Amino acid sequence: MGQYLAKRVLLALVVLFVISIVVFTAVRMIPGDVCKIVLNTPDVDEGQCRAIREDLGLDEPLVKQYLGYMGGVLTGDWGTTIISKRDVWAEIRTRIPLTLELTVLSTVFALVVAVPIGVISAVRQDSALDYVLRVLSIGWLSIPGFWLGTMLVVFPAKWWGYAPPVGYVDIWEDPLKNLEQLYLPAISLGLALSASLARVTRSSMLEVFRQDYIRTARAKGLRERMVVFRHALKNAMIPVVTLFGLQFGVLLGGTVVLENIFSLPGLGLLTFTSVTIKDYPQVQGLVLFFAAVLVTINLLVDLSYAWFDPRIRYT
Amino acid sequence: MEKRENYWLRRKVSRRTALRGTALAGAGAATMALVGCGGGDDDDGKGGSGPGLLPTAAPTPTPAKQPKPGGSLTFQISSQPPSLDPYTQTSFVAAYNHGLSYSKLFRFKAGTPDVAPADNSMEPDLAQAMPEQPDTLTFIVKLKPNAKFHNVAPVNGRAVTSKDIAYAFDRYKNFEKSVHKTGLAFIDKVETPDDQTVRITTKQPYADFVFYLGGNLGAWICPQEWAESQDVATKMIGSGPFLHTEFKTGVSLSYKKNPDYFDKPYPYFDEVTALIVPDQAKRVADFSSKQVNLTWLFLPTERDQLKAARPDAKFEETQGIGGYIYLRTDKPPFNDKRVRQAISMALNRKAIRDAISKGEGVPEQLYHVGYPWARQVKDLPQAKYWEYNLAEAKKLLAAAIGEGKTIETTWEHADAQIYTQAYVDTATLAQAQLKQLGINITDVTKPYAQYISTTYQGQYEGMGHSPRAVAYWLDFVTERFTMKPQRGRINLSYVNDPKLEELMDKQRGQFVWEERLQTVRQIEEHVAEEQYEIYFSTDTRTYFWDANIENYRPTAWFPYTHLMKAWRDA
Repeated sequence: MGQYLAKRVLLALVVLFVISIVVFTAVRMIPGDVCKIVLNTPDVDEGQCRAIREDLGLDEPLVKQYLGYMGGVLTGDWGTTIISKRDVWAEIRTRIPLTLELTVLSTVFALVVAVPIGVISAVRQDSALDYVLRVLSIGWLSIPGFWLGTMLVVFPAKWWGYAPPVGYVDIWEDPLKNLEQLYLPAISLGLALSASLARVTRSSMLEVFRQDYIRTARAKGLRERMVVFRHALKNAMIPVVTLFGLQFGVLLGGTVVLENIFSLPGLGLLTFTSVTIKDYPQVQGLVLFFAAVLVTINLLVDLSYAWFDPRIRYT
Repeated sequence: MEKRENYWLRRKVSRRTALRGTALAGAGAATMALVGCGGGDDDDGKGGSGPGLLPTAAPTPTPAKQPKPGGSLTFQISSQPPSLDPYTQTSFVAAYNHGLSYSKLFRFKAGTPDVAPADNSMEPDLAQAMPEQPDTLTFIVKLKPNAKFHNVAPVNGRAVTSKDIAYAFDRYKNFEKSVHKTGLAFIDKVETPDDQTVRITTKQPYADFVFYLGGNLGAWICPQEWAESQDVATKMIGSGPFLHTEFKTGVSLSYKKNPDYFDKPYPYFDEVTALIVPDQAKRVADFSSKQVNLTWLFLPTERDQLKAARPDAKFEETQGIGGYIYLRTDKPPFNDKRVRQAISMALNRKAIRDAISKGEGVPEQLYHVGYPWARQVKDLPQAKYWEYNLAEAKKLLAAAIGEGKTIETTWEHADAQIYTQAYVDTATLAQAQLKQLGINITDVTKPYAQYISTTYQGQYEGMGHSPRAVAYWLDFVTERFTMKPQRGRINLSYVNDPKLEELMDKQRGQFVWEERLQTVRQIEEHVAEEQYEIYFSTDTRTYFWDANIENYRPTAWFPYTHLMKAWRDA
């Protein structure tokens, strides 16, 4: 286990290293002059541009820029944003709780919806209820989060004059208000995930139902509920967890749009704003951070297999 | 001294005439910008004088009520200001906020019921009165003796002096990262004979002096102690009506009443909050649910939705943003004015209006948007170039490039993020119309940041497309056609026209309005004939605000200073 973990961590570091190079280079290849972005006007001269490039270290050779940047990242200095001069890591750090909360709420929503649907659908395979649930899940899968989010903003306001509270309140400050601000974006973000999880849960459960140990459990006279929840469900979870790991990136990507729609100051909105104004250091920092999160999540997913299925051993 | 007085007396009529002329220009812009002011009481579902923005509306005086200080106001802005540093920014979103915490020598009168939204008339801000002008190059401004900076570190409520004004203009002109060097290039020197007096000398007679220094760009007085701080990008410390208390990134900017504000009895509100709400649907929802007191920038569809959701709210439509096509007039095929004329005649502006803004908007736009003296297109000898006439357009094009030939070109524009979907849709529709003329266009849509740093710097071939706002200083609209360094801010169409250059220089120094108007009309006709830029119609934008907010009216000018005059009749 220890050796496996070490190998995976090492691999993750290599992945992050490659991503850092790709991001660093790609950001610098985007067309457009950074100095005009910084100054936000055509009314600039070459002297001003030179000063700004020097400020940002863009006059240095690319390799030197990269080494300087990564050295900073490893020592906690992620640089400053190019226009507002805010600390890049501070900007990311202060927004993590909101995006984390949003993704957790979306995940909870997705699981609460998906697992029962998947289980019921499998248990009642080919029944009318199964068909209804499958049609529903396909429908949800085809609804884009941004569209659903917009609908959830527009129609409650139109019909009932209702909108979630404006601004953003931290969960520790006012939990109820915080949840009222987040439940609609969480539903928008989690619905498509719930649909795909429900479908995988169903197919995985059906596969498990055909296993010998399930037949044995039934033959022993165990109640169906015990068979389904104790013996089948846990074993059916491996593909579900794998899918969740893969979908986590989609969830994070979804926050970019949904935080924008709901005006939530999380990592998604920060990404959107930074890309819009071409804030190189902030975009770099965010992509690197997201990459690290995704690599970590997938590592944890792999390690969780052993918990779900004790037969799995890492060597 | 006597000579100076004599000069002033001798010129007095002309000066007043000049001011009146410019005020008229503002009032005219206001009438163009205004459709009507609606509210719960008189709501017939149409608001005011109906669709279109022709000069039908007048200022709307309201019965005097006793102001009630206190309370709070929340309004929305569409994106986060990239930086709050007035010296290094031209962002209009930043300008909204600058107006709450910074002051200028002069400020817009607009923002109260008796001043129409696009009236660019000025009133003294830090200045005691409008400037004395002993000669055509000198402007003397006396500062209000009680003007103080905010009572917070590092300025701690110290007095605003002429040195602060001199510092600000020096920084705007000479700071390496200033983006206002060209705009303030007309200033030769700033002298400070005493703490209360600023003497500004211009390099040449400059008729827009007051309008430029009362505007949004290169005019805010930010004290040296704060201007040179790292925090100037994220916090404002000035002498304006509100203290900037908090900037929650991506969420809001908060303000509290400045108890020491020099212009009593303002401000009335104790607190003001600007919420950052990028999504249009969310802005509508927040106002519909009565969580926001003031909102704006709605095209007719959202406007109608809001009117239905909030029949109690007051609203007013103002002139929206007009778009224009710019093209490489320095190269074939667009160096031939017949091609440009053909393009203008092949645009079915009405069809575009119908598709995008329910047919609303100012149908025909010249480069002087809105002012009454800038004639309606129909009154110009060149009016035919605005008429949709595909057959005539084809003839012109054939004469220019040859029978049966077509033009292959590109059309560069930004995405919808900042300039709205209406702008992108306009491009799509216009390109389809020009295909019928024989101009095959490859659409190049760029992210805003890329567009503004490439195409909008003149790095394009073929054609481009941009929105434009209502300019508050007349010279702005002529600056766009000059190749002279330190004179033109931007000349996207690569115009190099000595005759036009001469006319532009001439009007710039004409203080007597009637004389300036003559020159402006010559420019108008010349540009209309040449079609250096090809204008679309403008759409309408609507402001909504709570019915119990008094002494408020929208303005076409960005700074929100005027919120200090509003109060809530709770």
